Amino acid sequence: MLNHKSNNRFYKTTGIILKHSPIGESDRLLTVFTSDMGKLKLVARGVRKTNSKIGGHLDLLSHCHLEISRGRNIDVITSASNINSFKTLRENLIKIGNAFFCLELVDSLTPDNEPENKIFLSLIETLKKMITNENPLIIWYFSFKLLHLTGYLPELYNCGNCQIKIQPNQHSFNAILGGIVCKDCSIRLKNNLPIHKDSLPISINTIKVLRYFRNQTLEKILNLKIEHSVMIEIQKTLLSHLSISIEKNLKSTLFLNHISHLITNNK
Amino acid sequence: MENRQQISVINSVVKLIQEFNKLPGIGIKTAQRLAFHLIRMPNEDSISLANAIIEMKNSIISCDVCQNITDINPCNICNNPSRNNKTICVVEEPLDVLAIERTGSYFGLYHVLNGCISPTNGVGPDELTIKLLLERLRLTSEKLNDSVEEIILATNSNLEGEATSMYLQQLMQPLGYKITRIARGLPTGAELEYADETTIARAIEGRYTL
Repeated sequence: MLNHKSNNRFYKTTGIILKHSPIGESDRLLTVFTSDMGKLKLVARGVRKTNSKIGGHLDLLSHCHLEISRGRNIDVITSASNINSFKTLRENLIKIGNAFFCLELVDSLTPDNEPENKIFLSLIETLKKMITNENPLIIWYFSFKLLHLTGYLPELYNCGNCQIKIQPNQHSFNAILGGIVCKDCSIRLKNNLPIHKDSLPISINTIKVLRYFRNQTLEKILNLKIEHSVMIEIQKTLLSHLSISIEKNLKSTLFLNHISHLITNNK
Repeated sequence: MENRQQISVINSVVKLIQEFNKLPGIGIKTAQRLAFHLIRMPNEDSISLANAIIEMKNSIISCDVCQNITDINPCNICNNPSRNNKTICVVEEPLDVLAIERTGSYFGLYHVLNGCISPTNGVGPDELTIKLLLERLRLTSEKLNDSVEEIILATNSNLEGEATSMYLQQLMQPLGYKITRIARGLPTGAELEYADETTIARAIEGRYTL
């Protein structure tokens, strides 16, 4: 596969800034998810100074054009300009919290340097949707899509323990076993504490919605009317599956919880 | 040949190089250069460097009131009766306090958060000094004379700084304080042509009548 990164001393791409950390006196190390080269680690020189020309374009969440020069150990951004700074997402605490969630998800689930344009497009679509639509399903649909695109899709059709085809019943979801666990296995597993502690109840409606996630577009998903209890189950199921797949807990979900407590307290 | 081998295994030099290497931005080569420079430096200078580090570590603490780094508790600013105790300026790091103090144009008190909300880097509200800020506000409101009126949010103008500022606003507005955010827009010396869209939009929003 043509990897134009290795051929040229200079190359161009576009990407979304996922993460940054300060290095040296005025530089930053950026983690960028690009449209055509996957997740890159790049250095941006002098961006912490106030007179930096590209600093403002390289904030977290920004979608930018990047011109990059190959370095010995790490590549350096020589020029950057904003395509979309998603300004609306920066003006509301809940939208910021959701945006952090999307960025942390992509950073946690993707390896460095592996091109995956579908992930990039899905991230852009999600962020653009969040500008005008406050439906909580958006980030959960994105989580599911990302799990799918990175190979961590939960098993929704066959029991994760005995492999029989799932029929309508009182099943459970267990991320360690990879997905839905049928009613009989769920009962048997109650004795196996290391595995059972990650089991969650899952209703037929939740299973249906998750199966729908797999096959439908974001537009179709947003037309669904979902009961509050199913919404809660979707969140718990996907968070459990994410924490097993990523092998850590997402810090941004803690922040989202903080925000929702704050807002309900202030009402 | 023997001489070269000897130098490379002198334990104290190896240890010193390892210690320098721990500092940010100091790679192995720089660490080696620094270590050998210290070997050649007069004894008094090397020892005075070592003593300065020990003295600093022994004397530096965080101010109980504002969490800034200081050697007396409460710090010089919190202790100063001529400062305006009705205004608290919330900043991310002790260096931000220094930056504002250098301007000589702010006379209120500070609160240092020791970071900003950055979930992608593992920092949430619990890792900052937010609870201490709330506790401080509660204590000062109990002493009627020292009541705080305004809280200036001076976190950085990037996504994490904005998230921190908005979070603090939601947290403290119900408590009845005047919450203000420092102005953002075009920095002095910047050109409109190179500025990013968020900066320009904010600069236009924040325009004032001449």
